[in-house]
This record gives sequence, C-alpha cells and structure tokens, in this order.
Amino acid sequence: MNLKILIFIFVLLISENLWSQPDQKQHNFSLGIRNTFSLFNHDNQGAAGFGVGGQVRYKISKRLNTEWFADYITNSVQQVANRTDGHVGWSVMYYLNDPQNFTKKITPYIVAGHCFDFTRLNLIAPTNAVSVNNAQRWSSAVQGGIGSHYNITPLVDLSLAVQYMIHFGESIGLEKNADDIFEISRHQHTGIEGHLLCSISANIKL
Amino acid sequence: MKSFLPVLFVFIGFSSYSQVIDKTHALRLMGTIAPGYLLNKNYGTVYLSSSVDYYLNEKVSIYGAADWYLESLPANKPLRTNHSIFAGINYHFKEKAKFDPFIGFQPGVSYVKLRNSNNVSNIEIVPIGSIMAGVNYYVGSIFNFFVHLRLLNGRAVERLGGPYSLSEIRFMAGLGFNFGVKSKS
Repeated sequence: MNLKILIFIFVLLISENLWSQPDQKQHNFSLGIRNTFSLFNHDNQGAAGFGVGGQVRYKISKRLNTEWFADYITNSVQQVANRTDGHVGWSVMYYLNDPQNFTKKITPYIVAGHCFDFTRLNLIAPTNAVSVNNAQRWSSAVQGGIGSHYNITPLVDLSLAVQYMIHFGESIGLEKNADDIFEISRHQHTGIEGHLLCSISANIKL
Repeated sequence: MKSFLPVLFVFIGFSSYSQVIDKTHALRLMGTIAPGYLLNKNYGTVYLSSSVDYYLNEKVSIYGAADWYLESLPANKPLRTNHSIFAGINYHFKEKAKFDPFIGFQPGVSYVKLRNSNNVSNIEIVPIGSIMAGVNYYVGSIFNFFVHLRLLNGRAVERLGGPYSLSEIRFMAGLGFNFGVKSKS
C-alpha cells in the first residue's frame, strides 16, 4: 500500500517535468556533505544512530531536483552490540514553491526515493557466550519526507530534511535466549516499520 | 581589562575600514597545535591541526581540515587515537574586511582507538558532526592570524559497556598563509 503511494507520488513528480521548461542558468549540479540522525529504528531496540555522508544533486527542471546520496551510520544497541548502516540511494525533490533560482532564503520541498542498505550487527561480548556474534544483510528501502533549503547565497545552501525509510527484506536484531544471553536474530518480514532519517547538509552548486 | 577592551574594539574597527581585503577565490592554509577537551569525559587532548579554506566569494568558503591526535592530558586515558578529517562550508559575516568573523558546518570522520579494560584497542571509524566559529585577521595579502573554536559530536560504539562519547571542544590559533588575497589601502 505504502509502496503504491510512493510510486504515485513519484509518477506525479516525473510528470511535472514534462510540463516545465528547463532552467536558463547552468547551475543545476551541486555537491554536498551531511550529517544524518537515524531515529526510532525498530530493528534496533530504540537506539539512535548518527552518521556522515554526502550527496550529489542534479536539477532537471525548475521545480524538480534529484539527489544521489551515500550515508555511513553507526549506533549502539542495548550497550552490548553495535550496528553499522550504509545507504546508497537516490531521491526526487519537488519544490513546493517556485525556487526563483534560489534567490529566496527558504525553499521547501517534498522528497521521495529509493536506496540500497547494508547493515552489519556486531555483538560485543565474550565469544564463548554466544554461538553467533555478528550478522550482516543487504536490503532495499524506500524513503519519503519533507525538507527545506536555507539559501545562504543562490549557489550555497544548508538543507534540513526529515524522511521515513521503510526496509524490505530480511531484518536482523538482538534477542535474549533462554539463558538470558543476547543473541543475533534474523526475521523475514516487511512492514511499515522503519526508521526516521533526519539530515542536515551543506551544498554548493557548481 | 575593562579599559583595554574599548581600545581593542577601536583598533579592530579602524583596521577593518582602513584597508580593503579582497578574498574572493583566495586560499588560506593554516597549521597549529590544537588543544581539546572531551566534554563528557573531563580530560584534555592535543592535536596537530591543519586546514585549508577556499573563498568562493566574500561570504562563503569551502573548508577542509585534518587533526592528528597526539596525546591525552593527562596521558594514558582511554582515548588512544582520535585522528579526524572534516569538510564543509564557512559563512563569513563581513565582506572585504581585515577582520573576518565566521561560522561553519563541517561533518567528518574520526579514526578512533580506545583502550578497554583488557588494555586491548578497538579500531573504529566514527562519524562526526561539527560546527565551528572563529575570526581571521588579515595582515596584508600574505599572512593572517586566526582564532577558531570547534564543537564536535560523535561517539565510538564498538565497545563493551556502551558508547564512548567523543563530544569535544577544540581550540585552534596561530598564523595562516594566504594565496590570492588582494590587499588595497
């Protein structure tokens, strides 16, 4: 259901491009670096993650921009394990108002996209206490949310975005066994549970 | 001290308006010994710090820095290694002035080794977020003095007993070199 909504939004965003005229100015390509906060991670017993990453943006029409990003996020799980997430993906950004070549200070947008996600869960414990002390998985995810540029100058912006990311495929997490010892567990399920990604980035148009 | 401050402000104000410093497309290089303080661990650190700043225009510069961890103060604290690199932007408040206050946002990563209870070091690449504020004072077209303060947030997680906070404040000051700065009286 949620995937259908995201696909519908994506088709709307793409169709907008058919009606709009390309920009006259040639500053459609930008580079950026960012910090990402991962909150409410259901696989991760509530621990928050903190990460660093970067993105490349290519603006394809007046109101439509694309973002190609990578993130490296780490967090602690119940103080006995650590989790590392790598995201590589892309998003489409639709500007709610005419950005006017980013001459206005604030440019709000909605954003939706897809990414590939690599997760490694490593149990930090004496190795004789558990049978498996690390696990990793690849998965696919979709994300959507809202954001805004703060245009320091028309060519430089700070951007704040909040997106919800839903993973598809196997999940890995921690569970206590009958001896009350943490073990890594794997589950084959897909649901609306995911995590909230907040990112703040600095971007320069080239 | 109170009588000294007005004199300092008058000096800075006079200096700022008496000479035009055009920094657009200029490059600044800096290197210094930088003391730090881990805010949640209550001990000091020392780094060999270097940075480069390229002015896109008078208001915005692209900034990169590398800090090489030397030692904790006092020595033999859990943090054995904490080398960091940063990249981001700075926003400069004044245009074409000798006195150049700024703020900046620079994410980065740290290469961290921590001593644990068995005196074994875990190696970890830690994501870092940082904001920076400071002032540069241009002495002609070749040199500048700088005072920078960086606030970092990060935590090492590959450690039994929970994450190890790397939240820190670092202080950099010294003499920097300019390339491409145009100085006009």
